Amino acid sequence: MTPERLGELIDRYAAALVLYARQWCIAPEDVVQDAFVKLVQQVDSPEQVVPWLYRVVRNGAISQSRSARRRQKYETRKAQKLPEWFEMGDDPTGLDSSVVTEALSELPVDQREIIVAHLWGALTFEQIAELVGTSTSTAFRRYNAGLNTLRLQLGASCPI
Amino acid sequence: MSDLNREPSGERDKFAQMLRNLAPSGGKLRRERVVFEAGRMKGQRQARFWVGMTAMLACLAVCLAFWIIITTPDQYPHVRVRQFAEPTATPALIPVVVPVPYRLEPSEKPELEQIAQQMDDDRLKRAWEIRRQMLEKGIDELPELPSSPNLPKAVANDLRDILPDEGPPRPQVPGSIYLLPR
Repeated sequence: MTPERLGELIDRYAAALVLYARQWCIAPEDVVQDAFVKLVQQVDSPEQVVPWLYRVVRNGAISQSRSARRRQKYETRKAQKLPEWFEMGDDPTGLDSSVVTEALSELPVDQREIIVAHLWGALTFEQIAELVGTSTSTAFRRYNAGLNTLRLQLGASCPI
Repeated sequence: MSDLNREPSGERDKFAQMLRNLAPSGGKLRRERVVFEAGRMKGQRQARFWVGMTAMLACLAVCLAFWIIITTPDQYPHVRVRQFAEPTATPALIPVVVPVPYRLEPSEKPELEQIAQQMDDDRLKRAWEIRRQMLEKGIDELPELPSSPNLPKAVANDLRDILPDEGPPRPQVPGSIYLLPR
């Protein structure tokens, strides 16, 4: 793994990975950083780097969430609402990032992680199914259900 | 890839495209920090490898040296190297008169022998002849000699008491030193 290749992966996938890790933990940056460090330490680079990164981030985020929940349950719950999940957009016809953040955070985790992985991580449903540990059809069904829920919640804000 | 991943179409897919247009926030993640940490961890791993390799080679060298010392101690003689103080600088050469050593003549015996043969004294000639025979053949091969006529009787009696009568007769060389009683 060359430094140039690592920088390219960070530029392209780091933000989406942070968004993906936010589904579980309050310090997603640390999880994503550890994932990139683990990627560099691999003797043989994985064949599909992006799904591998998502798997490592998912495992790390869930592990961090469990340990943080054991330590300070109240503070964790409170801190989860603080950060913005998306950059503030300049397009006035686009969606409001804070509203999308709130609507997305209220989705069930199994639907939310599939939506994030597919829309912002650009993973296929086959890769998502392998990542989540379910079938492709189930992943697709959860994706549609979550997207419909979001549309209903964002109906007022949605320009469509 | 299945049909599930086809390009978006329809109203729901347009909504999905609008969601996709939102750029996720990277939070506090910094690109330089990630690259630095990745390089540092990789460097630590390589450093651990070299530390382990160095320790292993050091242990191997110690074991090899120990084995050499234990197994072959006699093949290498102990050599003590002693360093002496350097001699002082040679003083300036001064011409010194060195006496020529006295050269001895090869031998004076022939002259003495010639002198003894030329002398008229029979006793001296006889003594010289006995000496020559004793040197050439040994003392046991000497002929029996008559007793000294000039030896005082009292002294001869004392010698008879001192010297044992047993054993081979002793040569009596004229002119030699006699044992005297106290």
